[in-house]
Amino acid sequence: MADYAKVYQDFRAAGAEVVAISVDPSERSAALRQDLAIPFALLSDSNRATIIEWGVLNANEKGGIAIPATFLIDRERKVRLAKVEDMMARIEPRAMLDFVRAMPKGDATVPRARGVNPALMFLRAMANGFRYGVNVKRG
Amino acid sequence: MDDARKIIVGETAPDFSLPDTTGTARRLSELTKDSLCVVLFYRGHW
Repeated sequence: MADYAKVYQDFRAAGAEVVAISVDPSERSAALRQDLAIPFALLSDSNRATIIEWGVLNANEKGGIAIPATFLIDRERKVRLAKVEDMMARIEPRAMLDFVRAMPKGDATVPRARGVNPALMFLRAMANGFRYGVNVKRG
Repeated sequence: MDDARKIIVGETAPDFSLPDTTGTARRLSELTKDSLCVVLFYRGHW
């Protein structure tokens, strides 16, 4: 965002506006805007409706925040460019830690789980999520 | 789990009306009336 701030006037001169959206309440955005000297509007989506509608909700962090994403919208409100940060490139350390802790300590010493183990099923589902994507599809 | 990618190049972006830091509602369809609009989403500090 700070990088867009630096070239904001160039965007204005080129006929484009810039806005940035997060779940932060307006007061917090106001402080950030001042601290970073951001010349464009910071919009508050505190109920996450827009973030969800635009498909950029990261539900796993802090009660739901926006996935960093960049879009260019034209004068007919058509999407001209779309880029959503690829969360699949990185497994969050806490999820990795949970996964590691759930690993058998060694095949010989740990008996295979019999029947349904909800915790393991959840972790498997999570692992598949990392593998195949849950929230974000690659462009 | 919602797998759909919501925003697709060439399609119409969903409109929004969100308050800026002065409390003024900013609507995408207004912003795009006379200019292009770069829409950034950022994590924030929530």
